[in-house]
Amino acid sequence: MCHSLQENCHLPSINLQLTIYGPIIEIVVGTSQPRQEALIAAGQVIPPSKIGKFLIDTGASCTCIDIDLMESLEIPPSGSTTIQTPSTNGGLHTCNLYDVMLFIPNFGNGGYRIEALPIVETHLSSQGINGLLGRDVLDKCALNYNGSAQMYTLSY
Amino acid sequence: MENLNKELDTYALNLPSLIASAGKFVVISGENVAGIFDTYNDGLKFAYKEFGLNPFLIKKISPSEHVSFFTRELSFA
Repeated sequence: MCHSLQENCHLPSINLQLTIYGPIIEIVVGTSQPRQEALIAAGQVIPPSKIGKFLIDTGASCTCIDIDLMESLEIPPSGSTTIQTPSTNGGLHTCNLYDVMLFIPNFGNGGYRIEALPIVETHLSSQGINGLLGRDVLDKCALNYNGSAQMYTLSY
Repeated sequence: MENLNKELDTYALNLPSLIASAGKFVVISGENVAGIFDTYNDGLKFAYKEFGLNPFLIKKISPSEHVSFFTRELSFA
């Protein structure tokens, strides 16, 4: 757990430029580690992981992935959650959760891997992105948004 | 879209007894409450070992339904 920007200096960091969409980061999404082991035990093929463009979104409680990307991973739901968005007009909507593996590459310096994370699927590709990286992941990282330099840093 | 309605019904039915483990994660398959775990990862590992590729529900136990908020407009299938 880090408490200051100074402490963050000791963490592996990814430095990227802001885009017209905001802080976008490429993330590898695949089958969770426990599901991979179950697929192997059942003699089935593990669907290949996919790379998607994720918007780092501090307004998202949890991470979301576009439906098209999710369908290619052939992962059935393993959870359920209740959500509220502007489109629900103050009401609540129940949706499925899917367990996935996330890997945030750090350009030849390894990266940050989450073996299993429950995520929501939604329509995002029309917005030019494949996912939202929400606070469920950001809560384990440090994010420095430097708007004046048009850069951001994600430390993990 | 696949659903976990049966497992969610089982969760709701057993919630009064599960509340003692609030904050932990329960694994349910059909009408079977299979186990309670401290972490999501532990529950998921157990679920796949126990049920393989068959349907199961893993859910954080809470006296009231946890709500996830999104400030961005989202649409769902």
